[in-house]
Amino acid sequence: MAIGGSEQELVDALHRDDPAALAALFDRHGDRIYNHCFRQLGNWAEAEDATSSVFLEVWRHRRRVRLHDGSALPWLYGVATNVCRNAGRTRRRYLRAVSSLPGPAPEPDHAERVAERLGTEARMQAVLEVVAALPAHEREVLGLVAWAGLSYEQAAVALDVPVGTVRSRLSRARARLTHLTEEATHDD
Amino acid sequence: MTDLTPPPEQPLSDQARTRIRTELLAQADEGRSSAPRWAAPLGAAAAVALVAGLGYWAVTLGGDDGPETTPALATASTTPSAPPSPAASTVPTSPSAPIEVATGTCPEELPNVLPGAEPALDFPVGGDGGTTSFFVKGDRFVLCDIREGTTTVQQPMPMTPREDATTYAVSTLNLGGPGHRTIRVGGGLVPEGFMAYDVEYTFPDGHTERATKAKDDQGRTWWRMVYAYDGGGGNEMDETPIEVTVSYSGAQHHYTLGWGIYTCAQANHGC
Repeated sequence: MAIGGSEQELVDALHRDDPAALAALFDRHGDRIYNHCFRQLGNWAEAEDATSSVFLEVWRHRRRVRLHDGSALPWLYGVATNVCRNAGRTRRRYLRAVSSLPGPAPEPDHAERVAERLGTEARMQAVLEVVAALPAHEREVLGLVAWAGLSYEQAAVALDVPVGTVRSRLSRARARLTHLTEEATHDD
Repeated sequence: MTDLTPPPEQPLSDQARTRIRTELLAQADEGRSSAPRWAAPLGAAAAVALVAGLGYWAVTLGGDDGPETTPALATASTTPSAPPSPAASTVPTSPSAPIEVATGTCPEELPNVLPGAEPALDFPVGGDGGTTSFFVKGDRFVLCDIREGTTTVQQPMPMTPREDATTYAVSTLNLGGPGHRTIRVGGGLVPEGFMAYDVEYTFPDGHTERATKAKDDQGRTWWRMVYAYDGGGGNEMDETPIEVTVSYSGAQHHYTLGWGIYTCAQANHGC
């Protein structure tokens, strides 16, 4: 298994049950998936766990991995979107269940790093609060195209829907967000 | 709140990257074969992976509190319909216990990477007490390096080297500590018939380390490079990549070792 091989070689190796291919795929795309999960969950620690789950899912379904224009990334984004959607549901249930309990003590870390993480989490959660008004399928298109930078075609592969559906969902999402932000401005 | 721009992207921390990578390799190995794998040293890692993996899926069972569409792709068939029990309604958390891996001898670790491989050569013990050995089976070999209490077995490589960066990939051992000590090891077989074959690695700290060579009983020449330096603890993705210069047949060949892709050649533990 050539660790530095092409994406096609990696996928071929995955089909041959080669764990090194999974590790290589993680090395290549782990950061992008991590950030995609963060943008869905608004929490770096949960994004870490979700990233691990995404690649475990990739291994479980390694024979279904497919390439788009020579890259497995769109397919990975699809898996990540599903994993993080489920993680988000679990988190919301959890927060409802334990909302009356004191929070866990923060893990020891460098103060600056903690502050930075908390700052970015607060900012992302604020963004997520706004886009929570959108239907889930519109949020997902927004996350893939506007935030992760996927093309319409790549997002279509990730979500397993036609390209036209991606376009229409994004268009509706933008219209809704424009309306929402106008309303917010008006209320202020 | 009208600014819908998410915060800037951040890379996974080295610690998280190592943890996830270790989990993935352990889980993948577990899933590939039912035979006992990785023996005692990796047992802990496999257990962590099982807790993280199976536990995670246990708490993400079914249920739906929104109008989301049916999951597509991979998870569509992996989301059971039973709702989670209250006891299972916890957000998955990172395993906090350190993962003890790769502390066996080379013969103990090798069966998990290249079963049946036979010893070919032991490089002389270096000043740091570390050892490097090569093992061969058929048309493949593995490098096994023991340093600072960790046994690193690299991915099996072909006995006929490929002319690309894969041949010069290094394994990485992050020791941590104040300077974030990092050890990189590379090695391989000098192609048959090459009289002059020199391999040099230039690291982010500017140091160039030349590989040393040794012959085995069968007359084959092997090269090995070991270099330890203070990594600084920052994100290595932001650092200048390791450059390799290979000289043979009167020509020089240059390779750039992309972080992660060519700097995590080990097969038995994370980076």
